[in-house]
Amino acid sequence: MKNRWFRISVFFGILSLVLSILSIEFQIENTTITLTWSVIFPVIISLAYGFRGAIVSGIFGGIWIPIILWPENEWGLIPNIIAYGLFYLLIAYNGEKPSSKSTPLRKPVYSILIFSALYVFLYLVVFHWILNHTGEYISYQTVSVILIKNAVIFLIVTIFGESLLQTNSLRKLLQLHTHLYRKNNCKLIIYSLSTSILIWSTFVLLYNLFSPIGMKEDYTGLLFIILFFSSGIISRWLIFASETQIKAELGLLEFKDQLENLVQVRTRELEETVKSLKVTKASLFQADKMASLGTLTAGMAHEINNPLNFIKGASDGLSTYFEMHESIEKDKTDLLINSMNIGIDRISNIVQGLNQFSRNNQNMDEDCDIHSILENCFIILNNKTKHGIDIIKEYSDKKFFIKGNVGKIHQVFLNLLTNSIQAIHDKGAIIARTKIEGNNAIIEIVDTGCGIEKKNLEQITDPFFTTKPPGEGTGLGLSIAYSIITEHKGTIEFESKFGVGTTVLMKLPMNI
Amino acid sequence: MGNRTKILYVDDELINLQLFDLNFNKSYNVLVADNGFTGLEMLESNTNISVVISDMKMPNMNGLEFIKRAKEKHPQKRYCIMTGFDMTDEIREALVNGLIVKYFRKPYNKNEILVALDELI
Repeated sequence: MKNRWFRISVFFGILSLVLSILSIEFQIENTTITLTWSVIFPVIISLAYGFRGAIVSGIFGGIWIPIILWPENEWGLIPNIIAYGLFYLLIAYNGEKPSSKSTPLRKPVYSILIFSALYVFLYLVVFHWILNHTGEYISYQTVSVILIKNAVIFLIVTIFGESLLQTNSLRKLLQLHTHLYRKNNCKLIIYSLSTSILIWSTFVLLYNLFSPIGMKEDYTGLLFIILFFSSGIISRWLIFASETQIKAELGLLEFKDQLENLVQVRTRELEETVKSLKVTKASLFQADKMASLGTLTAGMAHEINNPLNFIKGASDGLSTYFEMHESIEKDKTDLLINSMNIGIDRISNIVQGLNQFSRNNQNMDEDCDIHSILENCFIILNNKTKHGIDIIKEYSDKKFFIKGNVGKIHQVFLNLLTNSIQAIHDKGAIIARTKIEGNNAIIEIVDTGCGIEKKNLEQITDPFFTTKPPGEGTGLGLSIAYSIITEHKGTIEFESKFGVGTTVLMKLPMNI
Repeated sequence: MGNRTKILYVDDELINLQLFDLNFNKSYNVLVADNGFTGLEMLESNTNISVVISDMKMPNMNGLEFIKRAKEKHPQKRYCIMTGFDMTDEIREALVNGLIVKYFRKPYNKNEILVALDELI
């Protein structure tokens, strides 16, 4: 509102208004011009402000016109000026937002109709009353003719002018950014005023120049009309200037919106990158651990297997010996040889299980026997489960294979079983179920541990998420498990009830 | 005794050699060597060895190297690996290429070896 274009257009608007009022004083024109001035301005306002504006304009027009035309009106022009001043102030500070649904032409037509109806009614009633009181008499007919003539003129002029000069489209532009619109309420008034001045003064000028009853000799009158015309042109030019400026402002706003959007998009991209980096870090961390573990266990396995071979060989040898030469105490020697063999088998299984688990190859083509992998894991974790935790196995009757990486599947089950063991604080049970559904193998691990709280359930597969105190556990186990299962084109789901237990459900496609 | 199949067992651990001999000399004629070079020599001097079983991890020449060299000279013989290691890529490759026909784990299963040897001979 502070820019100079606005100030200039306000100036010219007021100038035009003053000139129009002065024209009455100097009797430049007949009542037509006066009436129409009093009509056009309110109509334009109502175009900008819709029904409310139409009502107010109608009331003012209807009441004040008779006062203006009141013969021997002792207050001169002052009431007029006050009335108009109040009127415009009222409109300016009461400006309502146009509804977004208004179509370009419908609203002005409604407004004009309402205004005209009110105007006509009040004019007839009030004017007639005044004239009767002062003794002068003008017939209804005369008044009606004047009214109709005026109504037709301004109807044509304002609609035409409005669509021509696109004040409405300007308003629509501003509707998009209503905060801008509020600031420009007053601008709109001035623009509308200027528009109407231009149209009307053009009309009057042409009428007076070319009509036989026009005022060709009245140079003062012509001067005034020319002044109207010029001020109208200047105002209109200022509208263009302002429109450009408003469009520029709107463009800036849009640009700002676009920038904000862009920043949001980039921020989101950054967040995604950070997330994926975190996941990569977790995987690398785990891979590194597993690599070291693999080297360790491979070396150890060999070192253990060799001396184990001695014991096995010796046990075989003794067994053969006692077959060849009758044992003096066969039961005893059988038990001794048997015990050795059982011990050897058990050690061998553990070592094999460790080897399987820490296999470092990335080969995804291996045949994974889920049952045997589960068995391996139970052996490895046997120490932790033998006191207080019952292991229940409900395996499917059919033997099946998953195509993937044996070592990685080991990791998954070990992670899940370790979690189950840690969740069971005193006594409990772990159930391992497998079954076949169509092309998929379903593996369930159920425990009766302390369960997972609902609020945590969504985050358990996030890397580094853990409910353990710092230092205990990395929070990587389930995120690794999740990524391995996904790698094998399977799904893993968690169901848990705090205080009751947890179920892990895995679905893996079987190799055909 | 001369008609029995001869097998060669190569391992750097003496105890392994002794035990293998003890356990298998009822079924086969067992010859032993404690390193690859000796093994190659024995293959030269005993031409009727049918099967060669070798340990993987040996100093100077590991099992696969030994078998490769042996196979060059004696391609018609059958070669096996016995090892305390889990299946490695090397061994898998050797199986696929036909360099070795069998892979045994330590500690070995006597029956498994007897059955396998039966098939090979």
